[in-house]
Amino acid sequence: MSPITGSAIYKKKAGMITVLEEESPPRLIWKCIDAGVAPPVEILLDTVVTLQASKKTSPKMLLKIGIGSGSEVKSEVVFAFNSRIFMDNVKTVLQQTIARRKSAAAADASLAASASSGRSTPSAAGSPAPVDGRQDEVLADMLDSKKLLKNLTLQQKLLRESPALMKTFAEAVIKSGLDPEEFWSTRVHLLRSFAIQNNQKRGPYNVLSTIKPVASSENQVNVSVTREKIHEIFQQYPIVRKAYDDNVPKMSEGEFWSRFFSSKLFRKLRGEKVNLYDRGDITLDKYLFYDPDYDGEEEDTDIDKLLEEKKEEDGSRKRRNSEQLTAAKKKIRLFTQDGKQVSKFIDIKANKEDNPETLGNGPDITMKEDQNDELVGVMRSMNRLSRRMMQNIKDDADMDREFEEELELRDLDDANTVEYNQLEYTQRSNLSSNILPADVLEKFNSQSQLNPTPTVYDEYMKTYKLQLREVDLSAVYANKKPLLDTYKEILNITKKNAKSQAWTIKLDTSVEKQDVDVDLPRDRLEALRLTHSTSVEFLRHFWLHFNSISTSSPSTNPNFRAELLQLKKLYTSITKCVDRVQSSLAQLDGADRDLGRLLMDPLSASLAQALTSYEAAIVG
Amino acid sequence: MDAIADRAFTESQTNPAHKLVDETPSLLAVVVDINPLEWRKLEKEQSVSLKQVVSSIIVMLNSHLSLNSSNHVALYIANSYSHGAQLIYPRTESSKSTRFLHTPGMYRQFRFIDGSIVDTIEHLLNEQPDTLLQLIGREQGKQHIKGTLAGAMSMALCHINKIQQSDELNALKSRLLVVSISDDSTLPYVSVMNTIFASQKMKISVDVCKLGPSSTFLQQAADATNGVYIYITQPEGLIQYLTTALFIDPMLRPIIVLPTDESIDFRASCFITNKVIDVGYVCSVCLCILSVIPEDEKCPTCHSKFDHNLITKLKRKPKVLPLKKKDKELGDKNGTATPESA
Repeated sequence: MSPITGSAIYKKKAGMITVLEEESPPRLIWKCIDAGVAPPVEILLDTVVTLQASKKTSPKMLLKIGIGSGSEVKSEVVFAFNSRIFMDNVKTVLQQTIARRKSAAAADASLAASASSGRSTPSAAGSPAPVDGRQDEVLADMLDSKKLLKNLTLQQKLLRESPALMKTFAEAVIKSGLDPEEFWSTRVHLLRSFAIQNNQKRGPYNVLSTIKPVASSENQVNVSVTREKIHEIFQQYPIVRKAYDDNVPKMSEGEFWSRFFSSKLFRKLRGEKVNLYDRGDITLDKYLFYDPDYDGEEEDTDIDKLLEEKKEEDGSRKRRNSEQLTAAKKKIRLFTQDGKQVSKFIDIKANKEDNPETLGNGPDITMKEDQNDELVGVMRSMNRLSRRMMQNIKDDADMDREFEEELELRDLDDANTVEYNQLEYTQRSNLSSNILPADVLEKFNSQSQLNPTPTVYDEYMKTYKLQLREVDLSAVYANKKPLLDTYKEILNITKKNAKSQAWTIKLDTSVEKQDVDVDLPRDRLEALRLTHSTSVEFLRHFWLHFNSISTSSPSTNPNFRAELLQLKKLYTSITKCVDRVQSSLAQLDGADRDLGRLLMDPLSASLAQALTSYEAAIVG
Repeated sequence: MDAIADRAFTESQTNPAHKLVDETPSLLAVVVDINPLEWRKLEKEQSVSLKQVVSSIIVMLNSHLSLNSSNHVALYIANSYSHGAQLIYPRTESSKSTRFLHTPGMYRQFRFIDGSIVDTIEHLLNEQPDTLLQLIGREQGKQHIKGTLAGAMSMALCHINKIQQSDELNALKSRLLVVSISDDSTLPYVSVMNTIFASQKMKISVDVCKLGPSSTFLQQAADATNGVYIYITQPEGLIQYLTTALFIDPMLRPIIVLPTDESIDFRASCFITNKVIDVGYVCSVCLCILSVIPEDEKCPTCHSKFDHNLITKLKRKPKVLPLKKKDKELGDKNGTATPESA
């Protein structure tokens, strides 16, 4: 990229401004047209702290650059421009450079932090953007709980993405003054998963299988493809890229893709069965007969060379003209891997010499003689696809090491002995479940042995034993009333269950519909819900502190006092929550209020529980 | 553990209907709780007697048998003081009943079965000792009678398993009905849970007909096995419950809406005090549930020693600042004091 250059006025003198962002350190240089009139101005972009440009609407075109270190501005330089476009160019370049520097600085800072925490990290902190290898480390570093709590940008992003969380945040932190760090401390897992989500790279996958033509109502077939998917297709199927390169200037891009998705080529690449008489696409189906192992233009140079050599060898042949040559080049793909060393383990040629064919493993499914052609074709295309996908992964994992480990013989290694701990087991619950009521037992044991009075058991046994003397199976009920009542009761339960089951099924199908049918006005219900979630938020923090503080003491925890104060603050917050619940209930009237009370009862109980626990702890 | 975690019943629930429902015979196993002192309480409170329940159950069994000529029934009693859990029907040593049940014109086969059931239960009742003294004696350590409802359920499951293993009856679908009157303190927690897992694996639904105090564990049993838990509010209409809500054939279960109580209490019981608890401790080795920290700092079930430091930490009381006075003074006061009383 050539450096950005253009005219600019500095201190009322015309001159040329140049931004050298490729240089290290990046600089901005202004030189007066008349070399003698004013000295050149040179600004190191690393020292730029502020950047101000005049508004788009204003006629003046000024760019103010503040120079300093840290956040301090030591001096300011003002350039005036003739062209708004050029000024904007300069501005964006400066912005980018500054942003890049900042992110690099952040990465350095995190590296330095991790280095100081005992890990050995390369101290070379000069390179600006984090390079690929360091990405993992940066990510791992980012996932540290403390870092996550400090990563405000990440938190803001997460809040923006989930409105529900945003609501709780607004209510608890912004309105009710909960410490934001406190708020996030219980949600570190959310932050972590969000950070991972944002940094995750998607691996290669079989693109064509994800593309599914959808039949529309007008008897048309619709296929939707994104930019990324097209890119992936090109990478995985060089033949498609080739076809695209050959045809697209002639036909429009849209036409190309619609032809492609209806072609036999598409079906073949997807691994579907292609019949001779299927309707295809004339332009694209000629690529069917290309070598399926065609791996793209980049190898053509090699092929060129080989073809060249060949020609020299048999010089008697006529020189073909170049068109023929390219055609031949495209049709024949020479095996160019001669120079490559093939591992003996998988080298079929080598194995053929060493192993009689009657022994050893059977040949691969694609190598057997009497194999179904179609099956072999499918297997081959799958293998091809896998190979291309693997090629596209730029992974510097130690393949050799992996291979060696696979080959290693472990049968002479010491066997791992599994150690067990012996456990004695007593089934307590069987011992403790006594079906003799305790009060009867107590009475029995406390009475005098000489003059025992009959126990309830003794008395009851007399009648109990006579129970089944007379059994009349024709009279299992006395009158019909209880039967009818029972019938109604069972019917009601069934109806209720049918309703709730239908509701759960609905829940399964649509996640959005999570509303219970409550006879409350929507805004009221929403208000109650908000009060509820905020209170739960406070309760959560309250219990967290309440329970953790019991295990620490001033000697073990330097923040002990701060935590005590914090807990006390939370206590007052919870008393406020109680008030809030009351007031939101007070806004309802009549039957609504009863319903609201019913809904909020469990919450009120848990709030009260928190308050009483705190109050009880004061005395103890 | 995978096998236990496998909810055998979800599969059938998600894909209801569309299955060919044929009239395969089924087995109904019934467990009746005959805990004498509980019956005494029930008779007083709800005016329902063992006699009523037994005769209703017999009618239910007869109805089941009359639905299909190859249907089977089995009857167990549980929680009897001197006999524990016992098989009532079918017994191998069948004594011909001479009893004439007040049912003229009754199907002969039913009369044999019903007579033998009533005879056997009465016989067992009569064998119970007349006084508490004869039952438990004076020695305090031996005055313990085990709750056998879970045992009876296990026996019933074994019976079902035996029948399903046999050659000619292996297609028999089975279900288990528990008529319970005692409360959860008489139920050994671990045994009940194991019974639940066993019936889950065997795909046998456990229906619960509950009289007296309601039972958390039996609720869980019914819920986990796609069974019906129903609390009897009107004992006079018991026969109606038994022949409708609790009479659902295993083949029909995936299709119809069950009249079961859906609000289930999923709490567990403490292994030491045998009480149902909300919040408790769990042994990290054997997962035994405790509501109190044992004195000897050892797990009562697996005898693993707990970490002493951890226990002292657990026993510590939370420390908080008093409310009324100003923060500053109190912060100082509390911060310097050494608060430890646990």
